[in-house]
Amino acid sequence: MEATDPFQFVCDQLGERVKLDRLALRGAVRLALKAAGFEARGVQPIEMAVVVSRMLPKELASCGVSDPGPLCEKLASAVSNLGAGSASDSPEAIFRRLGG
Amino acid sequence: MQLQIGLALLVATLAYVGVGVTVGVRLVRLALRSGGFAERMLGIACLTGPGVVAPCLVVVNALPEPVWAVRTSAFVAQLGYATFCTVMVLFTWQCFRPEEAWARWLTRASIAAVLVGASLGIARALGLAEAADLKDMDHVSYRLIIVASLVGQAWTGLEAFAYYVRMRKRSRLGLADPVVMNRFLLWGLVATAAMVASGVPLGVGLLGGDTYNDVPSRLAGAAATIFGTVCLQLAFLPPRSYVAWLRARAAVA
Repeated sequence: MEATDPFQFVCDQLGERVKLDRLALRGAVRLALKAAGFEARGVQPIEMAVVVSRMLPKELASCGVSDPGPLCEKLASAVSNLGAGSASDSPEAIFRRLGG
Repeated sequence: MQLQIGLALLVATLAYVGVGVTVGVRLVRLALRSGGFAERMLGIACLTGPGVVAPCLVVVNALPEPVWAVRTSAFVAQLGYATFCTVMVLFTWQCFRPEEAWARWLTRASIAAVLVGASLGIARALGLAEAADLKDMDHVSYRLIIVASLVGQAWTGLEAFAYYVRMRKRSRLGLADPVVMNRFLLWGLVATAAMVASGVPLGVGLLGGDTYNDVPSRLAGAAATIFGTVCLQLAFLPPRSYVAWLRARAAVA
């Protein structure tokens, strides 16, 4: 499966379903990622799925989106099916490797 | 009192050399298998810092003669120190900030300062200074390298602690391996201990104190070296019981 940027995928999907300014929407996703200890760059689909499911509803609600839970669950399911990109150069991957 | 402190420093240095070389050999072997840049840099750092610089500095400081042995040790110590500082800063740059321009410039500046200091030190070792003066750690050649290495260690520590905070956030969502998370904390502590061990004597020297006989400074150096050695061991050669304890603690949380 071709690797797709999970951040971009979530932003695109949300943009089609939520009536929200593009910048505010991307900001909400970035805040959810930051609260979970991730950055937009390098986040893996399976990690993004957890962030979308557990952290994004709160951020969307604070932007005025009503009942974001079901939408986020659908989105989490979709993003988890994306092909994983390379994470071999992330600090986490390097420190895992250094442990042997 | 000086004898006891001297013994404590000797024990700390021996532990540092033993653990450092063991970790270095393991990481270099890992690098040969994986081809990874990070393990190669860190492996070389562990082999040159504890494996080359520490024993050579012991010889330079402890032996008044033969002169050729003192000069050779000082020469190798300078080469080793420069290599150690260079690969350490390269590791931090490539691991944490490989695409940031400021990190690239900080790395270049650090390496340039280290090369200038090492060149001066090598010139002294080859005859520019008396053999008895080569143990003078307050000389500008050593100070330049120590300052550059302090900057690198501070950067390394900050990056490691910052990433540890991020890993803690991930762990609340079940997205972080507790052993890897702990490794970031330990690596930050190794950098902090290295800063204390080299920074305290530098500070004492800059304030006009006697670096060799100042009791608090020597005690701080010995304690920091032992603490850093334990953290290095737990980070890269952890006993199974420690790993099991980390996993059990994470499972309960």
